[in-house]
This record gives sequence, structure tokens and C-alpha cells, in this order.
Amino acid sequence: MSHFVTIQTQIRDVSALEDACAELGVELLRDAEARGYANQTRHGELVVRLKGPYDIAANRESKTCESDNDGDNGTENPAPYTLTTDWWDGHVEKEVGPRYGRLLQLYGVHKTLREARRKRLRVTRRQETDGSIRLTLAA
Amino acid sequence: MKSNEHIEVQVSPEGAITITAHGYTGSTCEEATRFLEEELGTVGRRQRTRDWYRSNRNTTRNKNQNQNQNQNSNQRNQNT
Repeated sequence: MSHFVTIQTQIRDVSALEDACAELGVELLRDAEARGYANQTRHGELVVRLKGPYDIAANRESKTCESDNDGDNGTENPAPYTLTTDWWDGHVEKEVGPRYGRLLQLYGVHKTLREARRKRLRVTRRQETDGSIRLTLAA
Repeated sequence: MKSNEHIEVQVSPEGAITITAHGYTGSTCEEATRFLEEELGTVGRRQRTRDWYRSNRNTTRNKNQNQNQNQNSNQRNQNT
């Protein structure tokens, strides 16, 4: 039996986000100010320091997500990070894609690589012509 | 994981993730990808692939054959 699952990516793992930033060639700062239009700044638990004039701030909701009580698993999923930036004039889009697409893609790739490594699975990575990245995990 | 079992993770340029499990039998299939699903984000859609329907098709086909046979015998009855 086979099945497939579609998932809406949520940023929860700072290390995986760091890997994604490294691949993009940008820096991830902790507890910093994100630069915006006209010298405005926004504080971020995490800040993606871009090469252009504006940055991306990442913050979590202060309340933790109440996860459904499955019974078998007592650990709560931490709240995901929400991204904020200044899209003016396409500076940010040029570096991370529309709606942070490229950043989210690389986060998903590096998060999968980390989880696969933890399970000691072999991974092959392939760049598809439509721009997607395909990872194959096997024993 | 057995030798023919593998998981494919496709990440679109928009950051949407599709996970497909191949070569698993029975309930091990959905267990196989759970460790990734929970870590990556919120699960949007879960769907069984062609492999799943292939293994279940035989039973439906037999049912159809039985129906056809019934129809044939009905026709024969009408003819006589």
C-alpha cells in the first residue's frame, strides 16, 4: 500500500533554518533588528540578514500551541515562527522568492535531511526542471 | 526499512511539501512517513496512490463479474 501526503511547511527548527540560510548565502541572527523601509526596524527572535536593504524578522506567538492529546506522545509541538518583511520594490523577493517561497523550500529540504539523518536513512537529492527539489530516503 | 521501501519528499519552489511512501505493505506505510509529517508542518491532504487501489481492485472486479453473470442469466431466462 502506498499513499501521499501534502504538507504546509511551518518553520519550527532553528538549526534547519540556519542550514537553509547558509545555502542561500545569507546570515541568520538571533535576537536582532530587521531592517525595513526608511530606516524602520522590527525586532525578531530570529532575523534573516539579507544582502539587500531589508531583512526578514521571525517571531513566535507567545502562547504555545495546545496540541491535540494523542495519548501516546506527551511532547508539545512548539509554535511555528511567523515571518515579517518589507516587500517594497522587490528587494526581498529577489533573494527569497515570492512569499518567502525559496526560503521555505530550502527549509523543507534541510529539515527533511536532518530528520533522515536522525533515522539513519540515505538521501539522494535531485533538482527538478519545474524548480522543485526531490529527496529520496531509503535504508 | 526493507530494500524496496523508500520515501520521496518533493518540495516545490513555493515551499509546499509532498511526501510519498513506496513499497510498504499494510499499515507500516502510514507509520513510515509520520516522523516527517509531524516535523515539517501541518498535514493538508492525505491520499492513497494507485498502488493502493491496485491491491484492492481484484475484489471489486470479482463483484462486477458476478453481476454480469447474473445479468446474462436473466437475459437467458427472458429469451426462453
